[in-house]
Amino acid sequence: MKMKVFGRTVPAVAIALVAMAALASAGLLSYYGMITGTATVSQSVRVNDCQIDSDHTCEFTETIDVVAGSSGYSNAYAITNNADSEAPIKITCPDYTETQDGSTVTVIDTKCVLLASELEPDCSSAIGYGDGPITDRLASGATKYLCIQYNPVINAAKGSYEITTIVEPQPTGG
Amino acid sequence: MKRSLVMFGIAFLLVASIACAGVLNYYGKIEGTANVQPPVFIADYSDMPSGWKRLNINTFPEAIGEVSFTDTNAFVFHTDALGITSFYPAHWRFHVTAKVNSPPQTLYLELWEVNPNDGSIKSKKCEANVTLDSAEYKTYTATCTSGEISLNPSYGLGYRLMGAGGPSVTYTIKVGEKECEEIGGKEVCYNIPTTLIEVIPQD
Repeated sequence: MKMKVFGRTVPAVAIALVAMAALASAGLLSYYGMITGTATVSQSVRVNDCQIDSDHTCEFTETIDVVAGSSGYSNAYAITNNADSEAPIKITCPDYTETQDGSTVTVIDTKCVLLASELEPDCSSAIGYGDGPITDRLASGATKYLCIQYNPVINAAKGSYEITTIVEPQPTGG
Repeated sequence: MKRSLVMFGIAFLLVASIACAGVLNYYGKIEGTANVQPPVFIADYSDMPSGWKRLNINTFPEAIGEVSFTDTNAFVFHTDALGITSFYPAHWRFHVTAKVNSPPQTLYLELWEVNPNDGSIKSKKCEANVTLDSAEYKTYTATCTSGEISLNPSYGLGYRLMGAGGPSVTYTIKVGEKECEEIGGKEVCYNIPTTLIEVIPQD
């Protein structure tokens, strides 16, 4: 016996075989149970207790008035590790540079320091500033304060210069 | 076959992007804007190894006093080596608190490149003059304008004051003075500048 399927003539036996196979498959379980877990992750390392999400980019802006040939200082930024294990971090500390006559010259020499302090420090009196980047391993529960020093060279032209310092995760072993 | 490969590639990229979106690139960014103002060079009575006195950069005098010279002699305040090769076009506004024993007399106010090791003057970058019209201290101001100036990075800048009078003309320059004020019931004193150079960038 033959049947017409989509305009083609197919033996009825073939159709019966396919139907049986489908029935047999439906009779086998793919799994016994399914557990769907939702992990709500909170950020381990936070700057000034800021957590990055759809509402917060954790980008802090500040303006420092500084005279060329002198130093200007940022506010102190608290970097806290809320995780149960230590967290390696890296802080970029870029200079502001310009290209003059084909060579790169530093206009603002930026220095940073990470301070283990109980209280929020005054960055203008902090010691130990150095060129970046800074790498550190923040112990679980520890807070350190980041201070940034901006040092325009004496012949820096009057004006505004933007410098972005980033606190970022440091790959383990890096 | 080709089509399924493309589909697999797209699916892979989708999964990879979802995984990346779950990892933070940074914990925080500090965007600092440094508003830079031009420097001020301030005469200080502190000694330099060269034998001249110090020209501070933006800081009040550590020591105060007065210097004297006669006739067409000169006195120099200079910085340490600045490590720069040029300075932008600027108006250099000279301030001086001075007196002269037989007024009126001309006093030259000059900006020089100076070797900080031996205090030797190398090349003049700008000059102005004032007429001292009193035997008592008065403050005088004069401005000169320069184009971009070139500098040897091993040299500093010097504020040279030179007399034009003579004979027997004595010029005396006041280098800082003490000013006191009462803060919270306590008298606090500072050495404020009296002889200095302001830098005003040209537009």
